[in-house]
Amino acid sequence: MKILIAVIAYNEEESIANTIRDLQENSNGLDYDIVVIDNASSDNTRQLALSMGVAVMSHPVNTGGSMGTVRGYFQYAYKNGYDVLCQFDGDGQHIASELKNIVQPIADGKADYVIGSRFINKVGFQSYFLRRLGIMLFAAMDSWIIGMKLTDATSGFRAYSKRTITFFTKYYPHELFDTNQLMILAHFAGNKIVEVPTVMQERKYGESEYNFMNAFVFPFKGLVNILGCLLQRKQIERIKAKLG
Amino acid sequence: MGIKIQIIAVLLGLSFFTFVARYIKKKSFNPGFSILWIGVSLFLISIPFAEYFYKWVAVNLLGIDDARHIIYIALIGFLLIYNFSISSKISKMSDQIQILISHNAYLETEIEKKKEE
Repeated sequence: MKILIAVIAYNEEESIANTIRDLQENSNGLDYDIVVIDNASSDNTRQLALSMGVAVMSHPVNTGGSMGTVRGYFQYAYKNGYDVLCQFDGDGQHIASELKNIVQPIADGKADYVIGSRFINKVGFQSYFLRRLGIMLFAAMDSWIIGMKLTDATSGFRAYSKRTITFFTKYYPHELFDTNQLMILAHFAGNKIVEVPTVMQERKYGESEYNFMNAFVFPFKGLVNILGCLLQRKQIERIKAKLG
Repeated sequence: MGIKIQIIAVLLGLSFFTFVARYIKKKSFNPGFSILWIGVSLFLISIPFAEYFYKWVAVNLLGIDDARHIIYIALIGFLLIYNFSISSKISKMSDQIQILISHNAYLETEIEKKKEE
């Protein structure tokens, strides 16, 4: 089983080396390749990653927040024939030894889309109040749409099966704006979603894309995205048959 | 419509038409947009000449008492439709740009891999 870890990074020169080292040294028995998706960093992120012997896919221009890198890593995984793709933040929030938890359900054929949730066991970094409030709101809405209880709907610690990779690369050529959209579309396309417990840590360097202003803007954009997904439901369900 | 305002309307319409024509000639406008803006400039030129026709359309066909209102209604309607069409085009282009950016980044990675081999 070919596994790819896509480390998403934008101006992470202070943390990228530690993140890659963690992935290289603490694989927990998993055999995987690493690719850094560099969203047009203006610092030394790309050079540092290359010096550590991993593949780097650099965007020629910045494509927005973390969601701007999604299309890139799906394409990389699809074209190189990977069976499992994991998103891993380059800011040091995610822990390499936890990867096994999100890969295992796909390896066992029990899931196509696995979300690592920090709110199941409530261990480690639990994020800030406003962010938690937003996560709770969207988790409730996503749970209602998907028909299963979700706790960390916006988690960036995710794994996708080959089926999900194929869906987003070959059959959904539209811009992806947020994690709720990604998950709901995957669900409509017949991908089985599973949430597993994980542990995250607070980022030590750099700035999060979730700042004070975004705490107010993101929920509105999220609601519009969810509405868009609901309107696209029939169209996506037609694709489901093609995916098999 | 008085003769002065008719002359001003024709001059404005002709200036707009010349501007559009020059733009198409120099900057290769998309054919769809070219047709649209030529149509708009011809409509502006036609207002003084076809004043009675437009009044007839407004009053008898659409039931608008004051024929001047049709100009505002038509303009607002046109701008809304035009804005929607622009939004739709931008969204489509944004999708395509995302795909091109990731494709470009992927190809660059592959080229570098080949060079290393």
